Amino acid sequence: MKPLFDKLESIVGPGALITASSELLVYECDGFTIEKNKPDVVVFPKTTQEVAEIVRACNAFGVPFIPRGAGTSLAGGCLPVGGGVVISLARMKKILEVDYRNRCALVEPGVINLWLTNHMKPHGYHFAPDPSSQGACTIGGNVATNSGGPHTLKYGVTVNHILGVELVLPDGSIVRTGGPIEDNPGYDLTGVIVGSEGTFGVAVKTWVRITRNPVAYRTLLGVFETVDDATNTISEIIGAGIIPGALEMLDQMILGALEEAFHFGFPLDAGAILIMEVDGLKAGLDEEAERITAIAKKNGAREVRQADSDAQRTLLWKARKQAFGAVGRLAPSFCTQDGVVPRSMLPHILREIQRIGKKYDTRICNVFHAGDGNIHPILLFDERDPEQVKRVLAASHEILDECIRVGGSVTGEHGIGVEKIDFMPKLFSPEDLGMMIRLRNAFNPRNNCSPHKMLPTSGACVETTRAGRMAAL
Amino acid sequence: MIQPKNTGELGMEVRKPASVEEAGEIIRRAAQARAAIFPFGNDSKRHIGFTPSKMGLRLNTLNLNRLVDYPARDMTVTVQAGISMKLLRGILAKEGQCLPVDDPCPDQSTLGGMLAVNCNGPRRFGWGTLRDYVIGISVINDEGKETKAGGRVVKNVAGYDFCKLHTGALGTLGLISQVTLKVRPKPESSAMAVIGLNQKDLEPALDLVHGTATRPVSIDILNQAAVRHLKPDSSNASKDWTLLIGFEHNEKAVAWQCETLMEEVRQGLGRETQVIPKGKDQAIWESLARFQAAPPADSQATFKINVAPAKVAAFATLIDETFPLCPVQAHAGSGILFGHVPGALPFAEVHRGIQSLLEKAKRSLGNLTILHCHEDWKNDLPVWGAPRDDLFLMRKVKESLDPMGLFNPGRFVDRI
Repeated sequence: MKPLFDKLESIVGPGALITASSELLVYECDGFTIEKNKPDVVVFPKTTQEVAEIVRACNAFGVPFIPRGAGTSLAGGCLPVGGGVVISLARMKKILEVDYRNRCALVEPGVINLWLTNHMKPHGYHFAPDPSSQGACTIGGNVATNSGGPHTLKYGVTVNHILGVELVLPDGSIVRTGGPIEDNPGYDLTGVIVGSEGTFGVAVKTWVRITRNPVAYRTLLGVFETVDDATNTISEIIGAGIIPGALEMLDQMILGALEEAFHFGFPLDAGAILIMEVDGLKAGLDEEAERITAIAKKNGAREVRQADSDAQRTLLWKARKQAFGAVGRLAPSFCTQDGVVPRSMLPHILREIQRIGKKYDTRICNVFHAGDGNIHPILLFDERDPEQVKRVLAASHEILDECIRVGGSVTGEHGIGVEKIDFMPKLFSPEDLGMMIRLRNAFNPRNNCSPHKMLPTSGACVETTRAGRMAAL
Repeated sequence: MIQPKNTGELGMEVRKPASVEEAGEIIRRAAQARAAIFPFGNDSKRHIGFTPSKMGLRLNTLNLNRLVDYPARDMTVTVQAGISMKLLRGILAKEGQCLPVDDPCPDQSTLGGMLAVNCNGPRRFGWGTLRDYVIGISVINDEGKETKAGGRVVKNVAGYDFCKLHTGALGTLGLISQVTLKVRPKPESSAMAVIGLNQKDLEPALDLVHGTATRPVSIDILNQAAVRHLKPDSSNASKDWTLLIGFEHNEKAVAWQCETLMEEVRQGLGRETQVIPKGKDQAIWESLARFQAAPPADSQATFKINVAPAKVAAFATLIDETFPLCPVQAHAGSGILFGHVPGALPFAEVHRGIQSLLEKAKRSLGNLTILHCHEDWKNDLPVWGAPRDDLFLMRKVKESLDPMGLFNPGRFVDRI
């Protein structure tokens, strides 16, 4: 490896390379901690040219490589299976251009999602995708996983806000797809690069669409005795033709942890609460909030509170977005799942989650994007206990199988990564997967960029050697 | 008038499969015979693209028109791609829902055709484009097998997003057989604000609308010739430009926006705004959507320019100067302009004008494509605009997914 390290150092200069085993530990996994594997080296380029040279060096040495942002992903998307070079984009963090008149911005991949929104705040604009990790996750990572967030119900997911990318292809060449101007003739390559989980190359620049801020918000907190009452409310709000900015559900177990962490005044005896937010123009907004309140009450809400100040709204969203952090109070380790079901199947899937938790003797709490039908059961465990790890994996799989059975998907926003590769043949036929492999071959014919991600190694069967998972078990 | 026909396809054998299996079988046999497949519905988009590069079968999708699943409460609908848009709109309307994408040929389009061409209209500014609503897709591939991507839930990142890739691919990567769409509640109310402008007011007016306190879903401009073409008796036909701003929201919000915009226009431009209220605005929305596919009878070519929204006023004026009397429309908020080259101009002049506009669009990082022209002009006009540097990658995608060049060969960018 020494010659490779030397070559990489000659590209990025000293101080932009990690090779020491102890330091590499940081890069052995992302937010999905069940599978781990150290890379051989982590390299920190600062320019497109450097990324291209690194990729060419990897090709010359026959070593796989994988891009990485902040590592907040939750499905092992940046896990270096089989080692190789991690290309960290953390030092490419410039907001290169914001063009308010044309409603777009050009950013480097290491720009933190929230930085961009904060940067534009004085001008009344924001970047619409707002994953819960937005204080840490990067826009490059958002592009890779097609991230969502609480406000996707109304504003769409990342792909709806990406206009173009500059991509270093796995052979080291550089290409631009799309761009700041809409409707470029030809295939929508940008649309398919977003969400490709780093398997098409390294996105080194991104043109994003920027969105005007809502003028006003009405943020409601509905308190329900039962999860069923809360889910029925969701269904009825959507059925009434209201598209709230966000519609989030938190169950009793997570409320306890959040209250301890944020002292918001959450009712600890509630079966579930809903955060229901409508936003937009002031005109007509109170009426919308009133309609939602009426629907919630009709469905058994014992109370509907309205955030009466910006500070209160901010605190409520902080509590929601940092819910995962608060889970640390409940157990030493947790595994978050990311299933999706048709909205009308929410009551069913939540009952199933409860049943599965009991079956595997695993505590599961729920905090999720209810309006989208995107569930996030959080399975609590202690990763030091192999028995518990086995039970958590089994319970997770059973939940996701049920999502598929009712017509949903195994991932709404976190990606397939390595964690859910086994599910791809359950969602897709060998022919479907064959087309995906054919598409990957157009971008990444040698499969040396983010290998062993998203797609099983052959169209029909799943990879059998899983170093990371074996190690964890 | 130019007939929307593509002489290269005339005389080809037509097949009209009754099922996906039958369509798959036709494709499999065509592949064996090295013949090409040209999918079509009602032929409303056959004029788009180059003349086909080889002969084959025309495959009519109109019998693949089944409503597969419509769980209205989930706000998704799954249909076969040959379904007529008119029928689909009717199905959605019964549940108070809609696909908020404008249809330039509302009486003829099929969903598959809309997708292949990536049809959009004025509402794209507020509601996004067709690609934003496609959440699942099934495509019959070059082996005659139906393959799928995406799913039936509104949020799903499992696997590559073929929905985006096939949208706007002109059917060159496979036959779209089934589609799942995300739909929306039909807005409670709507209105169209109409403002007549002199040439010098055009740019300031668009700047004003960019910063408006309202949230328009469409911002369109029409020149005099376009107004006369769409509505010969219009009172605004005497103005150089007509600015049309569309709102869709609940009643209170629409009313507030109309008043606010009126005041902004009065203050900023010293002009009055005419508001066409809900009920009476429908015809205007429809005309604005149809414009791109409805050239005047004597028009010789229709082109589309895409540039940054801030450059719309400059390019609209440029078209006006390049082709006097050319009806011009722009979706100003999205940077999309359409022009119908007027009749009686010799080809050399049309060619010179188009090339000059294309060069200027390129210098502004934009492009120009031809939506409609004489078939024998296609060899010389930039049908798909100037090639961009991702063309080699598009070719790789095509070679990977359709290595034999089975689907619509020769018609798309760079005669892919």
